[in-house]
Amino acid sequence: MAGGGEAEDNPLPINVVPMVDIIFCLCVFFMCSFKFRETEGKFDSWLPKDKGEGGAPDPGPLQEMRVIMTWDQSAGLSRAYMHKKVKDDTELEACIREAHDDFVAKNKPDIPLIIDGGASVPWKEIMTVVNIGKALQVKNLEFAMGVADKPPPK
Amino acid sequence: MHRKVKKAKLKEDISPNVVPMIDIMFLLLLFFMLGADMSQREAIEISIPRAKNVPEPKDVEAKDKVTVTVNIHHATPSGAPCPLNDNNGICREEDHWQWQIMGVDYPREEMKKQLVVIAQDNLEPVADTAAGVKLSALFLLIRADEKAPYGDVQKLTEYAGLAKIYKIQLAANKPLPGEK
Repeated sequence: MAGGGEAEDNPLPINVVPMVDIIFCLCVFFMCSFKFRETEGKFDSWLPKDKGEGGAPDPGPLQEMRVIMTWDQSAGLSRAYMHKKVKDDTELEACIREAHDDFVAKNKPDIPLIIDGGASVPWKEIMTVVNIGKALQVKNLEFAMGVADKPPPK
Repeated sequence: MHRKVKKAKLKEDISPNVVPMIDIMFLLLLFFMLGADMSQREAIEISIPRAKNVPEPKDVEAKDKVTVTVNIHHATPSGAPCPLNDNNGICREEDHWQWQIMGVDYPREEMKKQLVVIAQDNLEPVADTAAGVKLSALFLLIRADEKAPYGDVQKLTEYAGLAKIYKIQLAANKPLPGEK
């Protein structure tokens, strides 16, 4: 820290005013440009190496947990787990949890959770399902491609 | 009678001691200088989705890890305002959603070519046994706005696959305290 002292003690007083001015300017500049950044994480989502553009063959009925999502400007978001329409995140999580626990009990923990979303679905809604899958420790999360925006069954 | 009045010569030094202020200002300056991010921002300011279970970022990333960040953000081509988006609505005009790398917006087809070029510059040393070809060692970080159409992310993923990039990462923020 800079020391104090009486003015008489200093035979060569230094005019600090220009320095203070400059420091003020620098301070203002850095304060204005300063921004707190939020912690940003990322989910790893490796693409399959051994599958072509056509995707994987259908593993058959009930060998998957499929969430169907569509979005419409007037009706908003519609979600269905398999063939059952779900109202909110809690219900969707309960459906996935039940199915996943069942597959784990049958020694099939690799059965995928397939996110089957229409092209207009907001990205936030897709990430909500990814988050539910991660929370339930679903090992295999898949994204279905090329689905038209059709409303799920009622 | 001449009365000699001896004036008390009071020399009062009223100049403030600026040294502590300078000390504090130096500390403030140091704080803001160290905290300032002057690098070219790969990650532009967009509202990315929040996810409670997103892994914490590692402080030290692998040295040889090359990551390309693609931002999917809303911007009209002419720079004109979009009333729907500006009023917190969900805009689905295809040309309002831009794909950006390092501050440059690329049209879809151009991005497809760009990814191939970038991927070719970062190939894995040996051919993958499952794919039968050398895949790209590149990490592709997709930072999509929370309101971006999923179709854009799908399309970008498809282009990444065609460019032999398979290491895809999806950016998300931790929820703020008190947020669900």
